[in-house]
Amino acid sequence: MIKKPTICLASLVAIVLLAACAAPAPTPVPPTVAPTIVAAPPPTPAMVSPTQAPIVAPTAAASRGGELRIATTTDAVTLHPYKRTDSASGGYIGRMFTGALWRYNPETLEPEPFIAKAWKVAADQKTITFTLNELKWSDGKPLTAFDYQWTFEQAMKPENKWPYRSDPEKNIVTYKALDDKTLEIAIKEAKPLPVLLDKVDLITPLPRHVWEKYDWNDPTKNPEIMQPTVVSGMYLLKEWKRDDHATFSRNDNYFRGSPNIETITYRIVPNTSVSLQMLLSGEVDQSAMSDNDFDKAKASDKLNLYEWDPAAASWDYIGFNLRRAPNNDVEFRHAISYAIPRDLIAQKIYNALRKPIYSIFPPTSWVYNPNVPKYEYNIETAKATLDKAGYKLDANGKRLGKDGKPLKLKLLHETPAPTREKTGLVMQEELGKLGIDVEIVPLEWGAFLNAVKKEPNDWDLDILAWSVGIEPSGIRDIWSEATIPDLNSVAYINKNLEALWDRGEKEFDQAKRKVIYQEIQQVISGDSPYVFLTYRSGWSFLNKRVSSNPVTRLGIAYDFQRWFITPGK
Amino acid sequence: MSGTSRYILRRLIQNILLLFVITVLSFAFMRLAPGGPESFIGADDPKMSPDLRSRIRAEYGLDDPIPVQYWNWLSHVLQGDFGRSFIDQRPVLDKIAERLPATITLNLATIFVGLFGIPIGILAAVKRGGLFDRFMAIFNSLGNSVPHWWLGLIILIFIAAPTGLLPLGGMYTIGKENDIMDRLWHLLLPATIAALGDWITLSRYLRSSILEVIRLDYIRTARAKGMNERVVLWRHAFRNALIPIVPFFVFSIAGLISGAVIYENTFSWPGIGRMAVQAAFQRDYPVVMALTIIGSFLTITGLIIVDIIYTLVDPRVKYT
Amino acid sequence: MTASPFAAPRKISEGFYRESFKRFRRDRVSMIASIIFLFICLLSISAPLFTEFVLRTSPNKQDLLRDYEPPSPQHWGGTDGLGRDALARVIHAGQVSLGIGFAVAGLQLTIGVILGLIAGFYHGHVDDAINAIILTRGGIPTLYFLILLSVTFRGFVGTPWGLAIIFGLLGWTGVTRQVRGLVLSVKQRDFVDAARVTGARDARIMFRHILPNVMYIILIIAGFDIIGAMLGEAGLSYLGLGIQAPTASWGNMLSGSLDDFQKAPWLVFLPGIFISITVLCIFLITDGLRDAFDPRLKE
Repeated sequence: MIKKPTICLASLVAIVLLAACAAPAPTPVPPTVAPTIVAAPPPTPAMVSPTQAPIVAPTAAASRGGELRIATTTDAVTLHPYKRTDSASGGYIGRMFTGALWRYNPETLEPEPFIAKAWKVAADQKTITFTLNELKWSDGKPLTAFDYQWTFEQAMKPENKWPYRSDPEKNIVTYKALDDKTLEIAIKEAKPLPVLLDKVDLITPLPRHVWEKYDWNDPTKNPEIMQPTVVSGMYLLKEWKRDDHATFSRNDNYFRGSPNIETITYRIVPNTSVSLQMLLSGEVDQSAMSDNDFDKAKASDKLNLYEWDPAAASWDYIGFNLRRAPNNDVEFRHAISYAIPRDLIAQKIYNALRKPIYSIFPPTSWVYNPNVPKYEYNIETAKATLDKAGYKLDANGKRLGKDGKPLKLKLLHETPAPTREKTGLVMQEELGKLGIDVEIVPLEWGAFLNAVKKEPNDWDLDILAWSVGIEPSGIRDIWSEATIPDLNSVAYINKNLEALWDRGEKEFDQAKRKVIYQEIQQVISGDSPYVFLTYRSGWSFLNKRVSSNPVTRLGIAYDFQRWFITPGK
Repeated sequence: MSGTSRYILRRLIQNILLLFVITVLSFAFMRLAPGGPESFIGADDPKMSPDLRSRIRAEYGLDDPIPVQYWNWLSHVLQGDFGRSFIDQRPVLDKIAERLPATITLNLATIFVGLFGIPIGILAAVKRGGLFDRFMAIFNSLGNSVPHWWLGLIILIFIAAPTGLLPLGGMYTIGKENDIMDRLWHLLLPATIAALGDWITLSRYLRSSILEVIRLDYIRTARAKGMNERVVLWRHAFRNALIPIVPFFVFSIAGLISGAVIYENTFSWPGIGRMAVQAAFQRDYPVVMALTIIGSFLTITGLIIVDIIYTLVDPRVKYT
Repeated sequence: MTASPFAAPRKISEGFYRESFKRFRRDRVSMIASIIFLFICLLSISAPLFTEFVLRTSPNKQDLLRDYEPPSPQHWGGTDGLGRDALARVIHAGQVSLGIGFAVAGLQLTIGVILGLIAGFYHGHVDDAINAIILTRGGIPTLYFLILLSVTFRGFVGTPWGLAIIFGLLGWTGVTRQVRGLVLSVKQRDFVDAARVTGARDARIMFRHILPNVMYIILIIAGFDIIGAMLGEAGLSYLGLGIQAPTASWGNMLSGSLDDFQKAPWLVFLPGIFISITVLCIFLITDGLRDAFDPRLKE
């Protein structure tokens, strides 16, 4: 079984369309406003209240040096921050480059300055001015606002084909350096601060003094693309043998201080059964892992388990193709929602490392609405709902559509993706109890996306997942008529709902915003364009010799420079 | 021009035609695949703007008529340029070259381990019916009936991991790249598992062809003349029995650069096979096509070499 | 090209097949293997009956509350991640895996034998044409091609029939080469000439006179084809490219169970044992057949 890689919880602001699969190794990812599509499987953790894991007090004398060894299933493709689309590349790039002007405080989850020392929002609520910290590239040269501006200009050139260019193109009006330390960014429409911050923080600066000499796109003319030598992040790439290992050594010029851990080594181990053995034997400190191996790892005395209830979750769902009957009937969709045993799916398919979800935000979100209709699993209610809506049983026990023909639904999902295959089978079994036949069509990722999005849209149900950031406005585009058939592959149209999203993005009062987003959840749950299934929470195993940060709702990956390794353990 | 060289010339021309046909086939296949070239590097990414998508299509010439696309591609290939990977824009040949050492190492080691099949086959034939012969018969049957990748995995998890006697994969211990012993230690299990099939085939094959040869008249004559048994076996039996093995080696060498995907996966070996599978999954056509064409070229060259060797070694082979 | 591992065929006498089978029956190992293989085949064929009346369950019956149960009197082979009876599934999967094996062998032999007979018999241009196809096929690296086919035509290759057809179409060339070689040597024999003198038509000579003389070799090739198809399917499954779930095959059960290594080892070994025993049996049977038909090999 080949496992595809891991998605990082740290990318907090993104909408990520998720393919199915393996497990998490928390890695910092360059913050990007741009939603990321990842043709690679996410993992499947548990919902626990923040931390029951052993916490190493940060006061303990951190020792410097040592090597952190990570086993991962898939290697990076490119180290060009404006070319990568996969999460493995994102992981490496995140070690080397940092650009986040602000971040969520790991404890309070409030925005706080990060690379910027401070920000100032103009009275029009459209322009924001950041004052940068004293920053240096790894070669000692100063990192200035002009690096930001230059990188932005390069990335936005159409011929440079930044995959996530369309969002900033829509929103950003000005992006310029006023002096070495001052960066001014303006967007089109006035937004409340969280949304504004979300929209403007999109550039990971590249060292202009190095990159200027080279071609932006061509790795044969620009050695920095595959082997960056001057970086802003915590680590420098020392060696990269593709599909074997990559070694990083610390950057003493990192603006938050030289990291404690001297070296990070990624080993590429395609088979998670094998990498689990490496983790258990102590050959690696951290590893991608299948949900089913959780208990084995938990029982090991070599490992510490860290669990957290993530501030931002990814959740999976079954989408109804609303272009055709009977899916376009809301009663029918409610009936199907009643027939899905979310609890059992979370327990059995995800080894209890997931929790049921009933709308678009998990309970951990600050806008969570606990009062949405839940459609708790109940086959009898499902049957009654169908009966009432006019879907009768025929003599053979088959459910008939409004046209009098037996219902037969076509369910698409990605393959290979064991958890989605199982979810599909459970669907088939449960709908069978209602007298509805389900035909399962597993497709390889590329073909799957094609089938879902392209004419003639010949499908009824699909299984997919979204990764949602802390800022709720970030997933607006999934629900917009304008994004059919791409993000809005189910073709869900509700103009009132879109108006609500617009209001949410413009409302300056946090409390009122919360009400708007709660209403949005209510509307979506009522319309049921999806059957919401489960969301994943955070967990990670680390070898005991590694001391991480205290677990927060952002996990353990923040402030990685403070991690340390106890020698001799 | 002698008959033999005329024959070889004809074969060469045939094979050039053959390669041409293969390029047409593989090209057509790529372009007709469902999902099509669209789905490479996120051209089907929902967040990618439509104008960007069409720019990418234009850049890769995906809007040209297919014969034009084919011709453009072929003329580059003939100059040794397999183009750039769709996924990371690197030259395809660079990507292949960087995997070659790993793949060649594993394949050479596999051939080497496979060679042990020869003495085993000979011994089994000479002492046919004996304890060794019987043991090998059982070993071969059992060895052939388990999927080898599965066996490899089971050995890794149930033997290598708990005892720590063997590494859990990789080519070397990181930091000990130049340590020959360390590399051999890492090679041991992958090469043995990968060679199991060859090993068994070779030894069984050799055993039966020796038994076959031994019965031939001239061996009987030689024996009857009172020649030393060992001399008879060496001079006549083995040499004749070994000839059919020639193709095995030629093709093993032709296959040197093609990776053993399954073993590379199990043993975390950074070879060509894994790249090929990834490329197929990502629809990275330039890479897959380059591998197919180079693979075909080597296989066909192998076929020609086998032919030539046979002409030289076995005078009974005649050509018309 | 590759030398045939078989001895050159002789004119087969009337009682040849009877004699050979008599020898085969005397070979204890082969007989035991045959019985076990037959048993597995019967079990697979009668899978629906067996699971319903003996195991009292069905292979697709889910019970999420009873997932990953170890073997018990109720579930002899334990249950999988969806609470389905593992033994029932393995037996049903046998239908698929053995079915693929037989279908592949049938397809390869049909194409291979017919083309081989024609190529060997007519020689000349027909032979050249068939040779050209064989060479083209041989020139394409099988594994990459197979992977490419499986990825791009997932919907087709993921079905048992699809996979069997792909394997069959990729694999017949070996059979053709063997048969062609055999025909070439048989053709020179007196009995073929004799038939020709009596005015028999080509097709009759091929199927009545030549085919029986190479039949036993074809039988043995069939054994190897089945083995190749079953192991090939398992290998593809390991790469995630074999028979597509929810259809169970031994290959995809084997690779699918790797996720369950820690939780439910019985799920790993059950399909493994079935594949291995089946392959082993076929292996021993072909071996026995070879010895029986060609007793010279067993001095």
